[in-house]
Amino acid sequence: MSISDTALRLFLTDTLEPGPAEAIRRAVAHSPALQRRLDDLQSAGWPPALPRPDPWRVPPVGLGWSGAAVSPGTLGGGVHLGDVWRIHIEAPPDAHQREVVLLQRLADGPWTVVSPTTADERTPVDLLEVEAGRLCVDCLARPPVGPQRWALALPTCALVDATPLDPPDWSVLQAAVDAGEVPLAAVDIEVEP
Amino acid sequence: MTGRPHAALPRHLQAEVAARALHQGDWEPARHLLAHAGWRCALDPALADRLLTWLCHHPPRPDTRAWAVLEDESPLLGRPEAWPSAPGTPLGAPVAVLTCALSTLAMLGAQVEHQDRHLWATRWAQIDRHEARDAATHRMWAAWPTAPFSIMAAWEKAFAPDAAAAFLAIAEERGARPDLRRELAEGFFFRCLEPATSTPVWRRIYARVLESGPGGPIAALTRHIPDGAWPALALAMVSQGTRAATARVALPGLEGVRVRAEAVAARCRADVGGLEALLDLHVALRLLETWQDPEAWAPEASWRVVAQNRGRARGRLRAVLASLPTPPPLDPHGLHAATRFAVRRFFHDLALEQRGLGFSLGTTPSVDPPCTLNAPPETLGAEAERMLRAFVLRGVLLGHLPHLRTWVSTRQAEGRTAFYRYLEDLPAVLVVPQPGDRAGREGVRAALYRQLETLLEALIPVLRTLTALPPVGLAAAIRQTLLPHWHSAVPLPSGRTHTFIAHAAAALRSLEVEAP
Repeated sequence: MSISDTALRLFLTDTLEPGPAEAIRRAVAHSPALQRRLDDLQSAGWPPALPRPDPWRVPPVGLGWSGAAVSPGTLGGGVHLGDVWRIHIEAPPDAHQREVVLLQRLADGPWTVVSPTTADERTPVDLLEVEAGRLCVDCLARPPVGPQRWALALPTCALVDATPLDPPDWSVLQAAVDAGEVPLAAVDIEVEP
Repeated sequence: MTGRPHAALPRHLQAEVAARALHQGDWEPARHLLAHAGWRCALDPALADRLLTWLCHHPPRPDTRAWAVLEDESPLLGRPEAWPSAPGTPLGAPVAVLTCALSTLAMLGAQVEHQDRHLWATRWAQIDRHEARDAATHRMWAAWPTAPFSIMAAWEKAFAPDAAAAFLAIAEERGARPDLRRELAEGFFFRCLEPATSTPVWRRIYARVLESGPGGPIAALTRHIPDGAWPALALAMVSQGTRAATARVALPGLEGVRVRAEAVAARCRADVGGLEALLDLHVALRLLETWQDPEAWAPEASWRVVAQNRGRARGRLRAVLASLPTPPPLDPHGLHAATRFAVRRFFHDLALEQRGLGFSLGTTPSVDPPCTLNAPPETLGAEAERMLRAFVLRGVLLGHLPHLRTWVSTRQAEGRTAFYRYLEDLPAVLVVPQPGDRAGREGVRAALYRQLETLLEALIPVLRTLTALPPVGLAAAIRQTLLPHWHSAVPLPSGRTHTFIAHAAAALRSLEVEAP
């Protein structure tokens, strides 16, 4: 009976159903080589520990506030540096009481707020263009070249009022995000030279 | 020859004894062999009879390879190399064919019994029970429907490592992308929360927790199906494809999907093992069908048929439970460990689905997809029930009760013109033509399948009154007696009134009630 590393990983984390698990348990009991492979996997750090989540609890692309998407024109072919690209998002029912917070994450780095960084940059949702019933947020394609992940949050104006911007302290808004009170969604783009 | 094959004999010899008896018309040894091996359908003499009848009338086609592996008492599963790739010579002797079929069925039944029932039960009995952790998990589950974000941190701390380990075990096959661990840490809760518009993943995991109960997954899931869900579920079980074919074999006296659904629903409501017995029959019939191809006798191939059909049934049961308006209650004992296992199993299956798709957490998963059962047959309203009662009473008085009973089950009435004329008097509101039912009477037939005997019992007092009427002024007295029980949509019976009394008395006798 040949047993793959995948099966051994699943066995080690008690993910297999009882039948297949018993088959591996029996095989391991009769095979020092299999036992060694299990030991090797464990000493190589299986199962791996998870990193601590970012303070900004942004859902993976495709989850979160409904309807977030990059405008179709920028899909597939990517966006060139300096281009304006657009995020579409469904308007929450109380959109007029909300404003835009734009975040960006590069590679393995943390989420950082792109806008607003000053009080002048605050953008009420009322100022956004509406296309086919959905809010549109225009963004400028900036370096670095390659895949970028962006997120759009629509907190209430009161939450942004409670947030010091200089220096920034987003903890109040992050707590509201953790409580599920802020519409928030992420999109991916590919920036080309 | 009668009796049971000797349990001390090797399985293939027991099968040979049973096959010889079966070939000579004695089905008990074969039934006993299959029941002992774990086939739940064989515990029910009627279902066993249907399975063995099917086997005798549709013999499969093993070749010498299937015969050669019979003597191997250790299961050949996990040893695909043990099945010769070169075709063998077809077996011609009926007893040899039956021996192959019974022995292989017994081997597979024993495997199901061990793997899908005994080991699950053992796991359940040995599950880690920790009062504080179980209580905390119970509180988390209680919060999901109304305040999910209140448990985000606790849910992630308790279960994200399990989800990640199961997901990454599959993703590592191809070298997981570097950011996947971070995405799992940050996205696990959101993956559980959505999709909000259909069955969210947390409900699908919840159903997998229910599946961990005692008795194996099918029994554990079945135990939680509420009575009200059976009509729609039973309709799905008898409606399409191979399931419909199994239902026709299981319920040979019943004609029509809706009547069979009523019978299946009644059986499953009355007996928590009813569904698993029907599922076992389905699996056995699928095996017999695939075994028309000699190649399909390879133990691995046969086990695939078993696993696929049982797995599909489990998936549909989980989907039904996950989409119930009110989730069934969870057993708090061992809930933390059961939830961890359910999370791991779900994210394992999610990763399998995401193979080749980039292992994204954001795609709406089709693991345990939302259940799309057809709407259950509508139950009759009070007004329609009064019409139906009057219609049945009219049938009884006209002497149609025996034919009505036959028609309700079989859609046939032995060509009785008078009975079909009686059916023409069915109130128009009860006649609902549909595709495949131009006459529009299938709804009434299904309702009567469910209710006829109850309606008749309710009619006993009026039937007794009728049989006690004095012969003088009989027509007026009958009319007087019937009017309080009648409905204007049904014509009152007219004509030879003395025969009404005789038919009423016959109906009482059929209900084992003495006429006064």
